[in-house]
Amino acid sequence: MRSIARRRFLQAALGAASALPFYGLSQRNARASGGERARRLIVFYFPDGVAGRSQNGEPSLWEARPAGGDVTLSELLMPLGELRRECVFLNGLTMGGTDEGSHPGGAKKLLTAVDGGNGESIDQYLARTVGRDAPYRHLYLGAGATQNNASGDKFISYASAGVTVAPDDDPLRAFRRMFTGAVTPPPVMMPTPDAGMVTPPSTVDDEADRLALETALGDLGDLRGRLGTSERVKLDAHLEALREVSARLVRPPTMMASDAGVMMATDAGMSAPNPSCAMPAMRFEAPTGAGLNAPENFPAVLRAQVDTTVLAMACGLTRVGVIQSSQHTSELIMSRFRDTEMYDAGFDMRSHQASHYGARQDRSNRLFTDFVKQIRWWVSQFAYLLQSLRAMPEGDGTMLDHSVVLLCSEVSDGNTHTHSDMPFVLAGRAGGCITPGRVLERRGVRHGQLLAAIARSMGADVAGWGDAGNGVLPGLLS
Amino acid sequence: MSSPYRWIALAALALGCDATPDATPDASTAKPPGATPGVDPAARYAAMCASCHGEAGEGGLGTRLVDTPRSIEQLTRAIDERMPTANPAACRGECASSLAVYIKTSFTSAALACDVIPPSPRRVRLLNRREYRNTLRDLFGLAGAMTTPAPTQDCNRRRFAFDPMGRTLRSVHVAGTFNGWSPTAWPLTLNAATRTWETDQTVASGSHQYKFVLDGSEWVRDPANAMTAPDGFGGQNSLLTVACDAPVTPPSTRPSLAFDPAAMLPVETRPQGFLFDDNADAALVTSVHVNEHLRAAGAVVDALATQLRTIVNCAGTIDAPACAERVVTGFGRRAFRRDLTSTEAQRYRALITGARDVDQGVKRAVRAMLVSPSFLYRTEMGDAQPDGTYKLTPYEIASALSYTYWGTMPDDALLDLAARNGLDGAGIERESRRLIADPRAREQVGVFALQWLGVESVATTPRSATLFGDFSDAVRTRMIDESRRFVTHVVFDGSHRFGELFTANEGFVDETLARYYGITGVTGAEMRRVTLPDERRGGVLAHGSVMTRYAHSDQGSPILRGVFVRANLLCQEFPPPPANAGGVPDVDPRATTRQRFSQHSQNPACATCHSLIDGVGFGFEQFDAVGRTRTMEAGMPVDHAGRLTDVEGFGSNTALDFASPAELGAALAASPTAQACFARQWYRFARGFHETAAQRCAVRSVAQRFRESSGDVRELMVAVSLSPDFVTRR
Repeated sequence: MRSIARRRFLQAALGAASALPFYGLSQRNARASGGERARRLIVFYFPDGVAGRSQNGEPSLWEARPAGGDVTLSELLMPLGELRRECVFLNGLTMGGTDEGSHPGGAKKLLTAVDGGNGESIDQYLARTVGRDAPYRHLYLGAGATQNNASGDKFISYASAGVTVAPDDDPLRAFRRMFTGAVTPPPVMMPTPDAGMVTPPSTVDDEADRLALETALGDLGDLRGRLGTSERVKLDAHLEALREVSARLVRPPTMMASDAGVMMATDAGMSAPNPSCAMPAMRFEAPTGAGLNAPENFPAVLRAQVDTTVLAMACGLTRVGVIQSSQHTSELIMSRFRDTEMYDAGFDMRSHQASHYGARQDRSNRLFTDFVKQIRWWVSQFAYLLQSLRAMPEGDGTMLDHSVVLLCSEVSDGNTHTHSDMPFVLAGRAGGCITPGRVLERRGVRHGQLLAAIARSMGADVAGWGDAGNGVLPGLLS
Repeated sequence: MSSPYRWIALAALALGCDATPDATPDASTAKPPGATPGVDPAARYAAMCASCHGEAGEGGLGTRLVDTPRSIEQLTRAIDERMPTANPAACRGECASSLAVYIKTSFTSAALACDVIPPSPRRVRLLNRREYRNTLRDLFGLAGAMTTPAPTQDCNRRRFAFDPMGRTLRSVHVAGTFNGWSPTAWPLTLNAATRTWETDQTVASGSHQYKFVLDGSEWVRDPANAMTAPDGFGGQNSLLTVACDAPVTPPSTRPSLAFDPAAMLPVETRPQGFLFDDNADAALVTSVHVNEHLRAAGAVVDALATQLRTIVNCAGTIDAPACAERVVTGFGRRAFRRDLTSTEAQRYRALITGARDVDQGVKRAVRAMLVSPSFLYRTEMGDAQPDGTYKLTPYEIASALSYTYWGTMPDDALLDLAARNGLDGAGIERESRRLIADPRAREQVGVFALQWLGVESVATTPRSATLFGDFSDAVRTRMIDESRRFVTHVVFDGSHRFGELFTANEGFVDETLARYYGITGVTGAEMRRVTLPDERRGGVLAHGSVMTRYAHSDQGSPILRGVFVRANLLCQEFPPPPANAGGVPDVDPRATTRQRFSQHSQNPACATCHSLIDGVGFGFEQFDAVGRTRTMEAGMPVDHAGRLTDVEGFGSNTALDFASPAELGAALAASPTAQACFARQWYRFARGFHETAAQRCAVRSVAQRFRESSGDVRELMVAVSLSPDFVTRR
């Protein structure tokens, strides 16, 4: 990692505008947007569904409606406002009948489209195929997603059949991993008596990390040989992980996006353009440790994770990101979110509790009205993600134009837990592959076709996804 | 798990983004990516049927399937039309017929006889965070717990450290209650080697709050310290509790780390229904792991730079080849918990002999060893036997024993025994008993206890401050301590008996917890054993931690408590609730918890399971959501009559009426099913997997030995390592 440090120092010495090689936004895919592909996928998950078609048969409060060349947002989607023009509202997709009625069953199918989570999820597949050259192939961040020793079936990213990986719920930790170097932290400049900065005499061994990984690869090869076919899935995953980190050493990400106008994450949200991704400032007040689990901190944690994801992508560090908000059957007490319409200091309303609002959409029932507010809040967080992406210029448009962003939950209606009419919204133009600002109704079509279309928009040549037949969702890609 | 992806053309550079695949696979044979071709009926059975009908068709909530008189056709029709009950659509046609064949052919008395205990699968087991931390501690001979701010050799002398995460700072100070919040009094200096800002300061015993002051103006919490308290300005102060009053062990001269090397690693994934943090099948090395293994290795090597040559026995004047030999045969053998192969030895020797000097070589070799799969996994591969099975090598047995009983690497005695081939049956038993007698076994049993009870999360699970103002962080911590101390006391110091876990009229409290429980006469912060004056308490069931864990933020939960007893203590599992199940009833000031929860269980769709769950939970109604006792709720006396039906198995027509956790505890203490379940939970924890039908016989024989020992938990622990499948693999 010494080379990162050197480059950083060089960069500081030359000024931030120095033109060093980068993974950033502008150089790759410099073509005009038409006919390009999405450079990145972000999945934004929230728990426990929406107020969909009710048990008594009242129509969904979620689905948007076409309105001439525009979209009429539903009550629940209202926080998107004019961002509706960046979205395709996918009405009617189904995840199939298996485990219908189950939260874990839905979470298992959500990104795998395979019953029981018995297959790889689309994000993992894209990370190891079209995303494999990025310094970090996959970024999986959570807010309260691993709380209370969450069972693995609460996670939505499947590295292989039946095996989930765990998201990182700690923004400080995640930020540190992405931005302070892959491995050994870079040297810090020291103050001198006249307050000028010098780099300390380094004791860092330039070669140690590389040699360690090389040795690990050798030892792993021996182990694979001794085990034969046993444990092949595990050892293959280990091998790929070693290769990914090794690639960062050989070709360190300099994390610099020259003309992208990368914005900085600050307490006031995304603000002034930052000319360099080399040293973005972490907000040290982001909750950590025990504070990660305090419901009142949840909005700050989630926002920090969104910011880190956007920044990492703006800086070209990764192409595939999953943001998991809480976990299914969530005990998150959303009535403790200050400055929101849910806030109620004297009352604990848990997310999953509210999702069981009863058989009908009863406006005099607090469970129902709170559930509506909760969903609107999740949508507003998705809107924040879209705004952050749109605030970053990229090529002849914005980051959002070159991205595909999926909003999803593991069940449809929170009370009935159905797996049909799933609440999916897709945002971004995928580099010109997708024309947003419309409703796409595909009643009863399996959502694996949506996942396949997303994969195709990223440049993966798949003909379908999941165990429910082939096909790419018609009418989504242009 | 064969790869279903072989047919995908990875044409990542294909132009255009039309919806038509560039190379359409043969539709008749291709399965889309993500799919698993040909679902195994055993997997289907486990996923959809086992929770009601038992892992091997032994029955439960559903009918017994062993030796079923029904024909395959009849079974097929029944499954097609009615199964699984919650969602019959999930298994029709081919699914139903394949399951019928599986049930008819696999679940016969002959096929299920336990004449031999079959070997378990060959595995590699990734060290989890706990084992990783413990292993580094023992590998380097580090002193004690790694806390932040860490004690130096003097307990009151603390090292404050701030990692700027790449930021350039001109100054860092620590300000807190210990120095009058002075932003200038205690400066930190930049340690060039570790790239962190550090200072050692003497802090009086007691509780302190502090922050770091960056560049004289920016006040931030200590990012490395998980303990916090509100600062009154909408942010958080860091908390430091210094407890140096008690006469503890003399200051250690061993090296220590000022950080937790496992802090950056991902949490462990626990499969559904698996209570423990060591499931080997779920533990996959991701690039996040590699990143953090590498970072931790670098940090450990840096932090111990001056001691490293002593640790690897290369102190003083020594040439590189001689040092390399010592590293490979000494430190390396301990790091890998076996002798290095000649290829490995060659690799690590080369790292040392190829370096600039011995210093650098040692650092390189140690760092490389800490990211090697041979360090990170403990293997259970074994050597091939003539009958086609595998038997663990002596070194593998040594690791299996030490990680089972200590959660860490083998000590030298165990490694030497392995080297001498001394780990045959008698050797295993002897070593098991030696390891169990060591204080590290207490630590390990404490870990098991908290995970078995599920109470680790009590430290952070949210509770309503309005309703439960006195439920402080200190109370939470002490409740967890109580459970840990209580179980380890019973196992090691008390009767050693399983039953005592549920019946002992004793608890462990300090002043804070004693006051919370209403126990008088306890002062000071030290946990001590007390006789419980309140007959409602006694045994683990009434622990504040357990009552708090199985509750919501604003109310206790008869359902969660009932499921806890069924799943964790009786190993009786339930299918997931059906759709439209409805949620937890709202807190209603006019009704008791029992009244509200009773209403929801009157729904016939729910009654099948909830009649088994709620009756158990209602027996805990004398305890609220934070483990306090109560006699009144909503202006009414609480009704705490509980009923545990089918205690010896679903359909066994056994029932128990009880009115307190203590009474339930007395029944569980005497229940063969509860005792067998405890054996099964320990087996899962020790072995790192959820047993399947294949391990049924092993679990049964372990439970049998446990029973023969009159429920001596230490004998149960030994029994797992004496079971043939501890060392045989396939």
